Order: sequence, then C-alpha cells, then structure tokens
Amino acid sequence: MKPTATTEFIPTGKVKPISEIENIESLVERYRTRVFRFIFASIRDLDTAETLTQDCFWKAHQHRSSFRGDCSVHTWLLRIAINLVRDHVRTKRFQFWKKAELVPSHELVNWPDCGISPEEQSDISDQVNTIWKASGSLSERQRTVFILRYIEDLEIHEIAESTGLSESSVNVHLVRAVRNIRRRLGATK
Amino acid sequence: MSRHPLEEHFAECFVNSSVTPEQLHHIRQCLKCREELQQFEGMIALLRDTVRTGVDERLCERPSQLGRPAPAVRRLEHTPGLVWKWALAAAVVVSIGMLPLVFQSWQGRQGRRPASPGLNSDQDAAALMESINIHVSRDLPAPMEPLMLVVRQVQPKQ
Repeated sequence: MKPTATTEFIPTGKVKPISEIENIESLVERYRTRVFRFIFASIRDLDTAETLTQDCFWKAHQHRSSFRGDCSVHTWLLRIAINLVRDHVRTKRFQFWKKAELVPSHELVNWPDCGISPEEQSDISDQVNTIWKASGSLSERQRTVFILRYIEDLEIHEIAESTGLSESSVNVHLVRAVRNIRRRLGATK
Repeated sequence: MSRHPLEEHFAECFVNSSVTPEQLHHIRQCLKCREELQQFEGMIALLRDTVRTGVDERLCERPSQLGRPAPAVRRLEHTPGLVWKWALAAAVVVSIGMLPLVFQSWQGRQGRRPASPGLNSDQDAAALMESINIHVSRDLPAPMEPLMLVVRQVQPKQ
C-alpha cells in the first residue's frame, strides 16, 4: 500500500523557504548588506547601487512565485542583482554623456587608528586603491566572478549557481581576473 | 626546483585551479613563492575589509527604505529619464520633418523680393508719392471738365 502523505525527512536546503521570501521586510533586513555590497563593488556608484538594490528586492518580491527553491535565497537574490548590474552596464554604454561619480577606495573607509603609522596607512591605501581600480577595469564577467569570490567570499559552486556558468568557466574567469589585476599591479609598481 | 611556477602560473596557483601536485609541492616548500602568494592574499583581504567596512558605514548612514516598496512611486521615479529621452527623440524627429517646410518658405520669401533690391525705404516712399501725384493730377480734372465747359460757354456772353 502506498502512503498517501509523505512523512519522510525532507532536507531543509531543498524546501522552498516561502516565509522568508514572502516577508519582504525580513528579506531586506537579512540580505540588504550583501546585495548592496555586491552591486556597489560592481558599479562603484553609491546612489545607483542603492537604486539597484531596491530594484533587486522589488523584483524578488514580484517574482517570488517563480522561486523554485533549488538554490539558496542569497544565490537567487545575487542572480537578480547580477542581471540588474549587467542591464545597468549595458544601458550606461549608451549614456556616455552621463558621468557618475565613482567612489575611490580611499574615500570608502576612514582607516581606524590601530597603531599603524601614516606612512603605512598610505602604503596600504595605495595598494588597496590599485586593486580596486584594477578590478574596475576587468570585463563585466571577470569582475562579477572576482567580487563574488574575494569580496563576498562565495565558494566556486555558489558563484556558478549565481552566474549560471559552469564551475570550470568560473575558474577560468577567476584566473583571468587575477592575472589582469596582477598585471596592473605590476605595471604600477 | 630551479624554476618558480609562480612566475608563469601565479593566477592559477592563487585561484587554486589546474595546479599540478608538483607545483603545489614547490609552493609549499619555496619561501619566495609562499611570500608572494601571501602578499597578494593580504592585499585582497585588505580590499575585502575596506569594501565591507565602507559599505557597512554607508548603510548605517542611509536608513533603508527598501522595506516599503511602493510601485506607483517607483514608476514615477523611473519615468523622468525615460520621458526626457522620448521628448528629445520626438524633438529631433519633428525638427527633421520641419526642415523641408522651412526651406520651402525661405525659398518663397526669396522669390517674392522686388526686382530692384537697391532701393531703400525713403526712395520707395518717394516713388510711391510721385506715382500718386501723377495719378491724382490726371484724374482730378476729369470730373471738373463739364464745369469748365460751362464756364467757357458763359464767358463770351460777358
């Protein structure tokens, strides 16, 4: 006799976290920083990043019924964010008369006074600024993969899920991104 | 171990992608390679910390409005850019469409100009007065002619 209702254990990772997606406020509270950070690191414009983050959550809320639960909510939101960033970059290509004020890394943070000398601070700031600039000059896909791996600390399979690329493709883009950044660093030294 | 794999395969070694066991072994053993990798790793970590701290600070400064999505307001926020684009495109199309009409009317104005463009307005006025005078001097006596005949007829009797 076949059981009419399953009483088997269902792994929580595969269950559609309906409540998490339904409640927009808790969704925003939980993922806002990560989504905003990714978008900001991709486009380097605070106002646009804020707008695109809003768009991301708005789209997620609109299309919540299409979420199948085959990946985590974070990955799903990142996928939407990646598409929004891609659309923004493509639109921006045709808006050459608009100049966004991009944030340089030295304006991003005030270095806390943690016992390092101003010279050391300046040196560190220069290094970070160089990588920040270099990552900005990467191709869209390389930058996305680089940010997801080294700023968002995602694993290769998570990046593959978010970007829709295969894991080997992610690795290839990552290698190229690191190579280009290192080349830039070498050029500035 | 004379050749350092990092010289050619730094990115592969850093990403840990397609690195041979020999290369890995070399990196573990070689102080120079290890230092180089650690230095780059440190810079990436610094960038990560900088971006994270910076974004956290910015987000604290800007309270979120994301919890309250208002589609109507959002659509309005999005429209000005779009309206301007369409308005600009429409203006360009209209002005291109108007070009033949403007050109035609300009040509027409050119054709209606007098043959003697050298005359100024004073000369025009003088010529006009002269023609009026000629006309008046020829026409005015006409109605008086019968009266003059009567006068002539009357004069011999006196």
